[in-house]
Amino acid sequence: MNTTKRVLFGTLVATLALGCGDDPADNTGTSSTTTTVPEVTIKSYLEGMDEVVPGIANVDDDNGNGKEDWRDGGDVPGENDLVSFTFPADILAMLGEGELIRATLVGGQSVRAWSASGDLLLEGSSGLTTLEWARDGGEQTLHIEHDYFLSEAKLKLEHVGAGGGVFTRRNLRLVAGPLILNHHMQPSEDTWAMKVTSWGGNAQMIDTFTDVLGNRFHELSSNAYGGDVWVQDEIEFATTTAPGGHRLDVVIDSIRDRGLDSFPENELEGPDFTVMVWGSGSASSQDSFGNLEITPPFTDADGTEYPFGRIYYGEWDYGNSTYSIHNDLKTFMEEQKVQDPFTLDTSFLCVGHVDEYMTFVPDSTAPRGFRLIMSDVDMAYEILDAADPNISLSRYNSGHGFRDVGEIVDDNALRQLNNEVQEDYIDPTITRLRNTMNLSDEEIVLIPALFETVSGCYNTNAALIPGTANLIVGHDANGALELFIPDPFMRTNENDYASDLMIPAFEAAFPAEANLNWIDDWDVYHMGLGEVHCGTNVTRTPTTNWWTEALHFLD
Amino acid sequence: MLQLQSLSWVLYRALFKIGDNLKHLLTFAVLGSVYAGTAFLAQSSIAAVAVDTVDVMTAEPTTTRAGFLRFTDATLTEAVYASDLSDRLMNAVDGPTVRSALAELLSRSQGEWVEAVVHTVQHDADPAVREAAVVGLKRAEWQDVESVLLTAMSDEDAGVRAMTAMTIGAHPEGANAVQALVSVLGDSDADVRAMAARSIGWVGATDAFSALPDLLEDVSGDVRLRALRAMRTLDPVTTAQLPQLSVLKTDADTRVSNLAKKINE
Repeated sequence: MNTTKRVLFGTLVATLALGCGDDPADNTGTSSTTTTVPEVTIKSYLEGMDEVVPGIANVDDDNGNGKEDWRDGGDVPGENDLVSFTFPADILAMLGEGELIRATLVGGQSVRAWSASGDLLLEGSSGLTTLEWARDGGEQTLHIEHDYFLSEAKLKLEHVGAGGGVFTRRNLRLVAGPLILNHHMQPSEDTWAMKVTSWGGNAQMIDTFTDVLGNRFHELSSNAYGGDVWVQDEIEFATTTAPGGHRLDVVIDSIRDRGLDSFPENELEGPDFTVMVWGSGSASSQDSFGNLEITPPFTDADGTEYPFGRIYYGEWDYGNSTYSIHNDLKTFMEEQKVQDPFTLDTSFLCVGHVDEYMTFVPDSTAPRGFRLIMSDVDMAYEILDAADPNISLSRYNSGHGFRDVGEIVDDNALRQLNNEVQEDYIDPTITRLRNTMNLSDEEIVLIPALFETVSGCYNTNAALIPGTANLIVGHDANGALELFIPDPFMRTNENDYASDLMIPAFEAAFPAEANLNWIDDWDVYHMGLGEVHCGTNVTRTPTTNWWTEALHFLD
Repeated sequence: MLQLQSLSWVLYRALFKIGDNLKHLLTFAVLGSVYAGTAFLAQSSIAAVAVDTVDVMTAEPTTTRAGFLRFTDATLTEAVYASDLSDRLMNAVDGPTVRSALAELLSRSQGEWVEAVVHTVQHDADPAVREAAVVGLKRAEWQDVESVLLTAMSDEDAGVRAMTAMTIGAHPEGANAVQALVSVLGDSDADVRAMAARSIGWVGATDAFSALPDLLEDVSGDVRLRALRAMRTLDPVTTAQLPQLSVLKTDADTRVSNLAKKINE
């Protein structure tokens, strides 16, 4: 059927369809006004196509041969990272005698297309840049492959007349998805922590994770990884996705390279799960990924939407030097565009990680579904100053040299130190986050915290009270929110949580919908200058499509 | 143990069915043997636990998240281990990173520890060890550490001098060493100047206020910050009227500018 007949036919069908049958609101039984069904033409079809054709970086190793699949150059058993692009047969059928659709790949060094049977159809470096589809060619499908995140090429589609003239041209962008780091609003999937029996052990922590998370919790062997318990620091989980359920999990492997260095290769790497490193050379503490976190999704004061949140990390100033995440990783994260990173000043901290004093937690009652949990020393002193100074604290005695509440309260230097931390670092952090994320007071929840200078840390600090902000956001098998929080042990009877000076304040601060799991991380983590979050890592489910929600960053 | 005792009961019941005194005699003999056996095993287990109590001479520190070593096992702070730990530190058989961890551990000990840590500050060849050791002296009695702290203020290593200045400020009786703090306000090292200024404020040395304003023009932002804060602590009224505040409110170090603005509010 040629174009003219198709228009007439469509109009006729539309007219008949609307003219037959009674409109329930029309009691006269006569037909109401007719509506023209938009006709589809080659031109309208081309012009109506989405400009962006989303794809996925083929950087994993589906056939297990030790090479990224892109480098295999095709014929990869188990390959599942090619995204289909289809040009329908009924549109081609509209072509007139001698007409064709020409598809030209422009700038295709990092993008190529295959047939369903594995023939290479388009690849810039091979000179295969043009396909021509005729009227009777049937449905045309390209299986698009990308070599990297956000790799892009143009696919120029032209309706070419019999004489060679171009009636309609449409440029499509073949774009691979960015690599997106996880935020705490995403449902948790699997959780890892190391089981330790020495140095006091962490049995209660492991048991709690096991009880709550079941087979979604995985123990790491201390012997296998040299007792390097800081699972958060060695790796960062991220994903890239594409339509049709395509998902690739990526482990961003830190250059930290301590005992856990081989963990991702040993236990995670495989089809659809790859390990990648950005940077090399000696690492600073800021290259550890307790120092790499992501805000929840938000819209800032200028109206810019960040559907995947924004990355934030700490920078540590000393003299004329600034210690930060390796430049290669920093640059890569900036190049992904959708989670524009920003920095916080963590110079007051010995370890220097953003997770030591703040985090974000889901809260369905919050204006935007989350709250900032921020350490506050004034709140801690308010509680301690009002408490019985004779309350004995055995953990603080052996761990920090404070036998009771009174010794903490009466330590003038400690109080002045904490006031400095609040004034010079915590308050400015709140201001920075408030401005960056357009946070309201309602979204900021303060929790009691105290810091102290630790031998070996020069004049920087670590948590005196176990850093309660240094928690894990998880979900049980039913999706219920579970928070795994360092126990502050601000009590004499360790079994009597109700008597703890700090726990009531924390419970009031955290979302009512959350199940609070108090974790004894004292010996293995707190005394090692970290807490629960530092010793744990979590994969999360991607919940947002970049090709519909984040294109404003990719234009 | 419980399974063995249950087995004894089963055996008794089984033998009971045989009947009369011989059976009872035999039963008690068997039961006695089983109980004796379990008691022996239990005692062996207790003995094994006693043998496995901490050997402080070979105990290893763990690597903290910051990368340096620390003894995290609370057991080691018990008074009973202080003497051996002190010997281990003073004999300097370990490398410097372990000695630093030992010095830190001892400062948390419930036993006698001061002598060993003082010795370390005075004599350890490695400045990083002396630096780690001096921090713990804030918990010692002033009369036991005054001399070593004052001497350490002249240590050849700037890090040791800085941490000593900080420790004096952290000590409840650090006000006794204000002159020593003032004397290093002109130290060549910025950290020393900063920690001394800070400590002058921490100990409330109002008489030293006049020694601080020059530091408001120090090349180091940290020194300017510490000096300004100390001045605010010692005399907030005078500090609020400082002519230097107008410049400090635009200081390149945002901590300084924020503090200056706050003082001037």
